[in-house]
Amino acid sequence: MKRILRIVMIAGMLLWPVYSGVAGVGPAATPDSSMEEYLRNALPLVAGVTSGRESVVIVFDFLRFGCVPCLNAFLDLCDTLRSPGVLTSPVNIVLFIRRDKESKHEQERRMRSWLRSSGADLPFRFVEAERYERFGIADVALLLFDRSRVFDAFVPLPKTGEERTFLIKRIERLKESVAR
Amino acid sequence: MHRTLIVTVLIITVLGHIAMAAGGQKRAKAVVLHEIARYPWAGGEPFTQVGDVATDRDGNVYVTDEYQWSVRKFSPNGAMLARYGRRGKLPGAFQSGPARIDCLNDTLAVIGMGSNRVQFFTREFQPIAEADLPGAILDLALLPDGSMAVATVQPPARADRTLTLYTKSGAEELPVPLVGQRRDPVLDMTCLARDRNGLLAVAYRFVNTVMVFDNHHMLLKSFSLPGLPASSGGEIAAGSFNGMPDELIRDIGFDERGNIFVLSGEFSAHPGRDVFVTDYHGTVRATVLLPDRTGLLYLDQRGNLFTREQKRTVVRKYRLEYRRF
Repeated sequence: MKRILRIVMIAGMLLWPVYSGVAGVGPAATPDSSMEEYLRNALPLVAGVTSGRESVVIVFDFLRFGCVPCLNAFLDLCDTLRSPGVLTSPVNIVLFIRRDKESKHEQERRMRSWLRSSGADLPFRFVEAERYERFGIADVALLLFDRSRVFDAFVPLPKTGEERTFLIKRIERLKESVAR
Repeated sequence: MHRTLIVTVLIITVLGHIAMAAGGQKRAKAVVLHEIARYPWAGGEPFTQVGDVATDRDGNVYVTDEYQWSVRKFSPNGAMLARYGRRGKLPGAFQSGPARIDCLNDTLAVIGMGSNRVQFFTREFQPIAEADLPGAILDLALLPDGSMAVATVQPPARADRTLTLYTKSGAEELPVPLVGQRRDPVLDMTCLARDRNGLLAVAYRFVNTVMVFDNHHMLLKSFSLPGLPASSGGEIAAGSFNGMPDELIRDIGFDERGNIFVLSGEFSAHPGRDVFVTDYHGTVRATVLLPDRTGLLYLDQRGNLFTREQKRTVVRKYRLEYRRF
């Protein structure tokens, strides 16, 4: 009897992972495993984001933002998208920034200070480092979401006036396509 | 009797060697750091990314913040006195984050990240003038004769302009020939320091060579630092910016005694923390171990050393104590 019980216990331990995977028992698979999915779910959680608007989401690691042209391109884009009359209606511009090793309070303070000084006082949220690494972003990622938070496209960070104009047109097309 | 004598002589000999060794250690020169100020004070608004530090003749401290587009002025003990700067294209604004700064007499010179523009201000941040130079500026030293020594990035065809003297209006005065130039924009990158008499120390960032020029800009001496490789290595094609090698020397400074302080890069025992203290001939007189990894070393000619620490969010000021110099 003891021998039978021992066999059942060992078999159960070995077979449980298989069973739970088939039956959907146990911890669910990460629902937001892709970057787009994660950001889509995280957008409503960012203070300052207005629902019902298209969103331009910019994802980056501040500590690696050392390229001067990239930094200026980012700031110029923020200036452009917020300038009156550039877009037919406002969009959300939301930043997702990789968490670094300092305390969250200090990092928030530093980011807020930087954005304010740069004239880009935008809503932002941190992404935990481990998750950020899974995104596989080389430097900066720019994503467009429509007003229903459906992911539309990855777009390169525009570095020239022409590229910014192209992005603006793309955003306007996004507005029109949803309106229809 | 003989045995006793032999043992006594042996003991005396051994003790003598021990005493000599201990005495030799006691006689070694040393430079000791004593922290006396921090910028900003604890609780003050932190810097986002400290670029550079300068001081004026009153001991006030100027710190650039590359990401806050500003320069802050502090009293010698750390009280913030003024803050200047904003991002923009109007006169006096910064088109790129202020990275380098120097102060001589009543003039501040500020250079933005990757910029070829020098912006001049009074010590009260009144804009005076601007000068556009050929080439992105790496470092600058205002000189007592009114000119400025500027290290820039140059293509191979203009490598002889890597270190050049300019007037404050941007007119070229004199190229300063460097020792062992590679005629490569990356490998020829240099950092500068000036002493109170106008002597100039120049160090390559990726090659183990330090040069000292007199106040007529003639080469006095060049030397290499012991224990470091001849160069950072790595294949850098001429005129190419494909990848940056690790820095061998990060910064350089003069103290008021005429010693040269050289901050090592990635190739020393404590990367970004080892400082070699040499005379003009390159003889290492002492080494200093900084408390935190840094890319900035500034000496104010008053016996103080400044570094940026904690990932470039604070500046600390240390009084230098010289032992057996």
